[in-house]
Amino acid sequence: MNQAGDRARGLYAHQEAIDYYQRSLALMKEQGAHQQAARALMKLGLTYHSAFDFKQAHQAYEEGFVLWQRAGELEPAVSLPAAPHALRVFWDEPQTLLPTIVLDVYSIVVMSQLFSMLVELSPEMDVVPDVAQTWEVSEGGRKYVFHLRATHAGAMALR
Amino acid sequence: MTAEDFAYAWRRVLNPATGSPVAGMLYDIKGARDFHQGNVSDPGYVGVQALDEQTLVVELEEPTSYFLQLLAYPATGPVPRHVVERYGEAWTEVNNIVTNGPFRPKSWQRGQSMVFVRNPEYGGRFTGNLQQINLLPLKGTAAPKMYEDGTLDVLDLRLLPPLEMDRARQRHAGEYLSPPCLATIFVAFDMSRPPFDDVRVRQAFVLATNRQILGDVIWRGYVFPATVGFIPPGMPGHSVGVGLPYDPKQARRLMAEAGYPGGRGFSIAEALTPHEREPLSKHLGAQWQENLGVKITWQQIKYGAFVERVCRELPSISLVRWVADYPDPDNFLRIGLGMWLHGWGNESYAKFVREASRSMVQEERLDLYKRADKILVEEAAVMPLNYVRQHLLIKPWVKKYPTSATMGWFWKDVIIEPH
Repeated sequence: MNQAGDRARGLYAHQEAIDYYQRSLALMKEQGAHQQAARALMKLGLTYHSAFDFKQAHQAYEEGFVLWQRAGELEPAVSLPAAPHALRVFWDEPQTLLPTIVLDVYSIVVMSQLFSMLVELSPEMDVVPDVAQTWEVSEGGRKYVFHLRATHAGAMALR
Repeated sequence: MTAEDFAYAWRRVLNPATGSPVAGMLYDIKGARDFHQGNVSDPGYVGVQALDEQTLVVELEEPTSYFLQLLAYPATGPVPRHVVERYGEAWTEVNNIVTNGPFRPKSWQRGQSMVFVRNPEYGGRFTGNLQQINLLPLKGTAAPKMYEDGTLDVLDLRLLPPLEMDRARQRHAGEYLSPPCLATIFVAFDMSRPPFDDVRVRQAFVLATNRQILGDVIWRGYVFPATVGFIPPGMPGHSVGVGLPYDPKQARRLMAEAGYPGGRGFSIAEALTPHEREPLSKHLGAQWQENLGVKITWQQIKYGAFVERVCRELPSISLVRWVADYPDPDNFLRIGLGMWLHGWGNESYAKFVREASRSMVQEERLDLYKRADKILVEEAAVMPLNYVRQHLLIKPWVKKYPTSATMGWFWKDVIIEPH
């Protein structure tokens, strides 16, 4: 259902996408699947946002942010064994790492591994929280307030 | 890292003194255009403000449906002010750079390798198990060879010539993946001077180009012929039933009308392509010679040099690829073509794109973009050639390798299993 919704959303068939996501969301909630429910809410929020329905988007995001954070805390504490070796990738060299002039795809791909943005555009083209943990849109879509995740002192300070 | 690192970064991109070619990406922010174009000199005029360390407030000119997606693009990322002020342009060098993402560069030997290691300070979610990435800008047949030997885990086939692509894919058919990609490869013209300021000449070039053969034969079916709109399929606003057909007869007629009968007297200053699009340029040259009687000599340069050069000055003809930064037509028709349409000055096109950016009804927006796209391709302001997909070989021990249609890679979520 989420996939069908993604396809519809990708083509701005918003109502159709919303229907799919609502159904998926109901199912996920019923099953107590926080992670999936959080994702469905992120999809729903973005769909309403894309359709300029900021009020409905706000509702979906409010609920989504709470579930998203809870799902993050619930993630298994057991971490995967480290990869047996480095990932070895054939890729052209980045032209630059300067965000002020980055234009080419080789640089963009590399820079997105080095820098976290306010949000992440996921493989399914969902907007999910990254540095911004939550946000509110007001004044009819003209004002955004982003709440950033706390960083412990020293992060991004000089090494 | 604080909210101010974002506000600082955005003001920097918009500062005319920075000369950023991506400043247009931030024009939706209140006052951004005026500040960037020098109409106001106070950076405080730009609608971005750090209320405190953890609160960033952004004001926009108009409600913008794609604004959240835009914020995932690297040009909107944070910049560590103290490092920039200390090192200037050299702040991104390996020994100076400070990052807030999942990885940081460890070493960079130009032309050899670039090594990244996990950033212990990263505060986001990391679901993969990579500790290190070795990025290898390989030459010639070195990449397929290493992949064969098992010393390369991921091979992007598009960096190989079409024949090599085929060979490598056939050898490793079970390890081949072809995720979607929102991108268009196109010919851009310098429309500010002869001969491409003449719409008849541009149209003649399009009419003389058999794009079906380009996709099916030259690219061996790895791309789709782009015979309709500039906005690729899979994007909202993709148009069908527009564009110019393959019609060499009409092409010759238009060339004659424009004063170049049989191609006589026709010359251009420069045709430029990055190396990787060489097969395409060769074939285009052959078609134009056969159908129009013109001889175009392509210059091939490195991709990076190509980007740098076209930002400085447009060649008469360029072979360009635009990959979506965010999945909205605005990114193709306003941002992607921003620098390529100088000298065209089509008022209807500009009006439709402008109106679309103000509309708050998506059906209406898409309709405006489609009208703009139709003018674009039928006036041959650009010639779309191919729509593309990704073509990857991935070793079986790479259990997870997420990608997105905007060419996003997610190394933090990649998993390599013991093998």
